[in-house]
Amino acid sequence: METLTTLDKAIRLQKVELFRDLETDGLALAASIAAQLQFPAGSVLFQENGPADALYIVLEGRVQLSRGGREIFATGVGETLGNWALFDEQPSLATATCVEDTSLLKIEREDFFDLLADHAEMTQTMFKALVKRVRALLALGLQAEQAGGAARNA
Amino acid sequence: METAPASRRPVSRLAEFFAFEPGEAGPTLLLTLYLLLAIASVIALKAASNGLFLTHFSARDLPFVYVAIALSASFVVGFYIRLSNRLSQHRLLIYTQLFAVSNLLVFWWMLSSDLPWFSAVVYVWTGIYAVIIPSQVWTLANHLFTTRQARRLFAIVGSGGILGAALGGLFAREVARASGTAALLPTCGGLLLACAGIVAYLWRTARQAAASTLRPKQSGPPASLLDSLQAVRGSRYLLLLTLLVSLSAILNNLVDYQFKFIVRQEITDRDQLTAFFAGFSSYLAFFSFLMQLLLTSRVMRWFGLNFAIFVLPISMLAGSTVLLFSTTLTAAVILKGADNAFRHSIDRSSVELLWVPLPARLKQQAKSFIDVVASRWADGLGGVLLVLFASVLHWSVVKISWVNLAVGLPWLAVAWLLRREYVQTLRSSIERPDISAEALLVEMAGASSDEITTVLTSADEKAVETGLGVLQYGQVNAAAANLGALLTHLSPAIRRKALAVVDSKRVPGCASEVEKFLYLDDQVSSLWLALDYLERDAAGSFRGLLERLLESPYVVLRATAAVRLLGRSAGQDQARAEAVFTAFVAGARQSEALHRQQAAELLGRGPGDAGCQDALEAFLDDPDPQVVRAAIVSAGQTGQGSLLSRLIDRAADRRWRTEVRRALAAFGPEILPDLREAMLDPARPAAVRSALPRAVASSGGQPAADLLVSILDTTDPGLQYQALRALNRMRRGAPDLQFDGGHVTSLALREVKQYYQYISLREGVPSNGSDAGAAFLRRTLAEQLRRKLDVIFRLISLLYPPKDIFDAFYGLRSGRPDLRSNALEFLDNTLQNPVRQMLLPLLESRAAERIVEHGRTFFGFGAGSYAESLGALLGESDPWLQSCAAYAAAEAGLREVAPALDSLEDAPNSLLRETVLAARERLSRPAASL
Repeated sequence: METLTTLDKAIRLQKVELFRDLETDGLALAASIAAQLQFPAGSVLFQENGPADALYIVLEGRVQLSRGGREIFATGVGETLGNWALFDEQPSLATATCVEDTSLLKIEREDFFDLLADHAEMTQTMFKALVKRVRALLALGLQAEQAGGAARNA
Repeated sequence: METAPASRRPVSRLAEFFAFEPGEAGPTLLLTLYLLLAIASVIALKAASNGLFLTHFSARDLPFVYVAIALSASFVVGFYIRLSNRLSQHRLLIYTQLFAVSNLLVFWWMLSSDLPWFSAVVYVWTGIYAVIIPSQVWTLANHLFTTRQARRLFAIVGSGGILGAALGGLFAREVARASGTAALLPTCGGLLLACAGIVAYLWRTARQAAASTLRPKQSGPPASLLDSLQAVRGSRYLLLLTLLVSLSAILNNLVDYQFKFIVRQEITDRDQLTAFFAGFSSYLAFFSFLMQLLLTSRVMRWFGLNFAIFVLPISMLAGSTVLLFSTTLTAAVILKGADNAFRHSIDRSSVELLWVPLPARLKQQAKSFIDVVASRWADGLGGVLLVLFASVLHWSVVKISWVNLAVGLPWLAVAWLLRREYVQTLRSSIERPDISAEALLVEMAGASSDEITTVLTSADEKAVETGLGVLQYGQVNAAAANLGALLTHLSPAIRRKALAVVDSKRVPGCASEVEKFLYLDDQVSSLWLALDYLERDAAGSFRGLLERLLESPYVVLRATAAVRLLGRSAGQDQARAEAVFTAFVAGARQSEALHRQQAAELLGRGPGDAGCQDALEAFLDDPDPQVVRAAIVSAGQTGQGSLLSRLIDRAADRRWRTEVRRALAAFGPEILPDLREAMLDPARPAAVRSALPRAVASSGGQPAADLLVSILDTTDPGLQYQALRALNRMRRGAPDLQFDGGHVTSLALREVKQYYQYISLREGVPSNGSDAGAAFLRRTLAEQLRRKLDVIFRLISLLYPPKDIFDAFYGLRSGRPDLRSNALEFLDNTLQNPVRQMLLPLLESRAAERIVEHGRTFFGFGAGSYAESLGALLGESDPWLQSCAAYAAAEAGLREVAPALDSLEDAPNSLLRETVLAARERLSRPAASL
């Protein structure tokens, strides 16, 4: 895959849920800390229970996530891995392995925090994105609970 | 980039002529038809009732029926208000109309008996009908439209009234000639049935479309006429509105009497009289209709209430003056013609516009009362005046014109006051509550002093801290007894907070506890505060205390006491104090971070000529951020010019930018030229330069404001924006600051112009397809437009009350149609040209094409081709916009913009350079590989 310019990266980042609401120049700032990396098939991006300190966006190829040796799901082009790793220091819940030659954008937590510290206006957008995500998860949980209740009643 | 206007369809031209926004044409035209039918029936019935009444009675009897109408109207509306409490609005309208139809049929049947008194009953009934039925149309219109829609569309709706008057007059004349006056009653019933059908249809369809503006019925509507009266009494705006409507109605009565008196002298036959009145109304209405359609809507749009509200009173005053010198039929026709021409057109639109910004609840409480009862009472008062002047004092119609003038002049004054109140009402409608945290704390502290006393004795340290925090904003009397004990509390945070309260509230009798505090604490600022208290309240010699403290076992206390002594008049202890302080600073330089921080802090509090001040320079470069922060604050306190440049260099560092700002402000206005030089110095990092405007603002005063205004002229958008923000902050704190209106206006117009340019350029960028570069560019331009608007409002807020302008800005962005509309109307009535003229269209238009049209009209901008748009954007000075344009050009393979890209090859901005290089490389590839 050819080397991406900052704008190429910014355009890809706008599809990532976490960055979707950033203004375009904020996307460019986020793009400036996104490193473009190539991994051959079989490479391990991070290990289950190992340190998780970066967000990955798949540009090309496919990454398999597995837990306890069991495959959970695979992510393809445009999808992300490790969204939460940007915000907490908990170990990774799964192992990520490239199942084919894969090109990725990687944003490390430290760089991300430095960026937010220097650009307070971005922090607000990030909070909004996080809250949106938490709400969505809560809604999913409620739905599942209701579906479970309905099934029990049936 | 100039382009020829695109050809448009006739429907679009018509919509543009009437300024319809999408979804407005249907309800507007239906309301117009509704008013047309309602007014036609009113005119026809008035012609019939005039003919019937004047056949049996003389014109001198008219004042008596005016009074009768006023009295009857009160009963009718009292009942009407009770009914409105029980029925939904559309049902109320429809039931009223059906009831009127049944009345007309009964009247028709009764007229065959030819009873003279019955013609008076019909006259009174028509008088009430003539107010209620048109008022209902406007009530519905008020609910369907927002302020801005009302301003554009009420003139169109009003034209229905004028056309209705013309057609109603013709219709009445033809029916009266062919079938006699009585036949008008059932035919008008037919018109009313059509009105009921329109209301039912309009309610069903428009209600959903305008769901956000049709508010649900609110609680507490008026239950009686008295409730409505109280609602009016409680509002200055409604009182003025009542006065306006009343004075207008009184003058209308006087003029009506004069007109009819003169006509009756000329024409004696009943059917000829009916025909004259009908013909007069018709010809006048046709003229008015044309004027309304071609002129009124534009007058309302361009000038709004500022002009429209004065048209009728001025014309009535002019007509009355003419009548003073000529009592011919022509003079009477001119006076009554002016009344009729404007009353149901421009004046009605203006008065109805006055209702729109009011809250729905207030509107509901007062509208029926003012429209019907107050105006009928005013009619009655007009009748009483006529009885007095015409029947008792036997004044001639000419002399009565003096009464016209006596009523007309206050009417003008009320109109002027009401116009101001209208803007005030708009301001209130968009106002956002200003909740001050401090005010809330004051309220909390005042409300719960007993509880705070309990909290202060609690074992929960957090609770005690909170109690002390709240106490700073309230009365300490009840809690004073507990504060002394808290000064020696084990928790440093509680001790320090207690000291802050004791000192700021001047709590007496705590000297011994404060002295103990000195030996418990090691924070310089707290020790300093404690010494402040003791200097004020200690019983013995403060100097003696300081001398004793020089012998303290605690170095920081010794050093603090030494600095305190150095700041006092010379004494024997000065040399000793200097030695203690110098030793402390020297020792601290080699010591742990806390000592260095304490030394740095004390250096700011000591005299500037103390020998160890050079240590401050070293502390500014300390590896520990706390030490640097303390050194920065001290640098500001000592005002050492040699440290200024180093402070400026630290202005962008987030770890201590607040302290730098305060320190620079502490230097005072003397350093403003240095700050200006630093802001404009291209060699300094952009982040540093952008951080300085806030420091300038912190120093305050007119010179700082003038400096920041001069910075607005720079081409660096980041610095410019920060300067503007700093100015806004200054203006909020000091409303009396003066700004060069001409200069700020020209800057605002520059931004407005650029807004029009950007929106025109955006129209040239494709909005569909899979071109990611184009989509990204459109998104960037949309953001730029939002920012431009932000800058425009910030600039405007320097010239107008800032809170009002920001409230209007938030109203525009609120997403609520009524709030947005009131914000626009407020700005329209507040801003002055040329800003108003150029800004309002871009705020008001929903469709980008409309804004582009305005941009073409004002500046000659227009949407060009994609390549033209990109070429123009590459020529902009904003590197981010240029980068997006360069990327989009490469993505679209537009080789014609290559020369523009070449010129940016060596751009100073690294992102732009990178994007341009990649774009050029991409465009240089063979076409197939793009």
